Amino acid sequence: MKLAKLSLAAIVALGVSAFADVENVKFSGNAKLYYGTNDMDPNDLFDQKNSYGQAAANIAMSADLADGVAGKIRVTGLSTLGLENNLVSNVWAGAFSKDGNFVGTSSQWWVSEAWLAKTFGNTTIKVGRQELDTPLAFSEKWNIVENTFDAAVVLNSDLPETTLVGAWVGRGNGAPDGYVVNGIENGSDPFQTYVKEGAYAVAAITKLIPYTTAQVWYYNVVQVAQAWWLQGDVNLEEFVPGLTGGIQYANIDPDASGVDTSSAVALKLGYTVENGLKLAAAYSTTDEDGVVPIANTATGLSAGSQSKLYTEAWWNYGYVGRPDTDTFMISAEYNMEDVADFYAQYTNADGGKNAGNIDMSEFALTASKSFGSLDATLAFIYTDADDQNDADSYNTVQVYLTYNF
Amino acid sequence: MKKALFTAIVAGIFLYAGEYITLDNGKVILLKPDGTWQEVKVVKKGADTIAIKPDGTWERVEAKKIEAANKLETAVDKKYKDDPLVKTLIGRWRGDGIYYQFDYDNAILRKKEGHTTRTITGKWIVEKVDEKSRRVVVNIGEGARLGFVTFGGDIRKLRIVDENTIVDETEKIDGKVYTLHRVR
Repeated sequence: MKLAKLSLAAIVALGVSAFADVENVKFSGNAKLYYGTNDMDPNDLFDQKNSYGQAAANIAMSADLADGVAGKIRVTGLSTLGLENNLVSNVWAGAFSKDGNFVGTSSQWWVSEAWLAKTFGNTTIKVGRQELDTPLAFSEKWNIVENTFDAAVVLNSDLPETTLVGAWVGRGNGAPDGYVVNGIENGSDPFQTYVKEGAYAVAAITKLIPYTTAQVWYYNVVQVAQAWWLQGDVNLEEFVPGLTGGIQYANIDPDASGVDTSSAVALKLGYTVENGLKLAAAYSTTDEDGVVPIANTATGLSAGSQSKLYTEAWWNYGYVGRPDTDTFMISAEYNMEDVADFYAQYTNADGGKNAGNIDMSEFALTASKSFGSLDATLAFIYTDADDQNDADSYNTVQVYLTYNF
Repeated sequence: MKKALFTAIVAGIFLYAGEYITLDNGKVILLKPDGTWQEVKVVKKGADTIAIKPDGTWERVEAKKIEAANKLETAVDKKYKDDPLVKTLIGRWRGDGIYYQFDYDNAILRKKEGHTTRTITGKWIVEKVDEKSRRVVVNIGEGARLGFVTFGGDIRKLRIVDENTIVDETEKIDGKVYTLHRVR
């Protein structure tokens, strides 16, 4: 018995010793319920036929391990909770498997993050399933769940005020048409090879230019395209309090012969009034001879893929980055203390001949408020697009509820 | 007599404007509105509580204020509650898409994520302070703790640049660093 006690004590001591360098171990997560409805003909708002809803849950564990190693694992679940029986007829995310079969009403879960990162001096290497936030390959966070990547990323900050980035992306679970992630069919793996044979990216982000954050990205989407993204964001606070500006240039050059290069230029001006009101205006134009849109390569470069251009609409993705399109956007944001956070945006995308002469106008108004750990956002969107609802305008109402735990 | 009474009332209003904290060792410090602090000596004179400052000036202090200031003990880890870096965090901070509010017994983190804003609120604990690098690791809104494992809330890694600027390095591993400025 004494021996048993001693062994137990030794095990405990070993355990404590093994975890002595483990810090900041955190279990956390959230539960979400998103609902949207529109009055596209012939239906009215809140009709089941034109409504979509879904619930999601994320449970994550992160920790700082010994010797500068950090890690995280996150499991994501999606379910309609049976809403399709009487309230909705579509889902937000994961509608189709990677083979194209509808699986939206099935309950699904997958490991959305599982990575380890090690820091050596000013260099960090992060390997595994992770979120990415680069201009042409990123996790889209507007939906109830976001797409992630099997990737390796190296960050180095040896140069003053500069971060160098090198990334390899092998696989992802991004899905087109706004569903963001591939659904899971009979337990199949929703991750698939990134585009054709993966992608490489290198970048430099620097603050060496006074008042400016400049970034240059180069992508090689293997056997598909090469791309550049240049961006400069200027903070003119010192000269005119509250004033900011930005310029973007993007270029995607498909490898296929005879396919024209796509490019885009965007400008943005922002101004924060002393009372906290944030105003912004942006303009973008895309090359009229291009073929592929300037948008997220991770969600298929399709209608519904989000773009990082300053002019991107609030809800109707897939328009501003199309070839032969001029877009302007204005927005206002205000935090009314103890009431709610308000945001308004108007976007007008004017499509030329190569964009099928399709125009799109959108006005979005949102109000967000937190009730303890419950975050709530109510959105109203007015859409007038030539390729939607037989070119007739329609309204959308959405409710976003997130409980953080 | 009227003049004396008026002077006493006006003086009283201003004298009670300071924010005091009692430290573990019994010392009392005054938190100044500009983010700095100084030690004061507290003495009793009849029914009054008087704070004597190092510069030779003094002010009458509401005894309740000193007692209320002890709430800091429940807000942050006792080990770090007197740390000047931790005290610098008290207040409101705003950056691009991110907001912090640190009060003595509560903290709020608001961060824009997609179309929504993620809010973490509740008590806050200081996990670690590195004076050399001026980094403070805070645990906001945790629900429960089992040894070194915590449940709920969020752990944030903050670097104190100066009294009016902090840098959130929590997502540095992803190349994201947020600079926040004190909201006046």
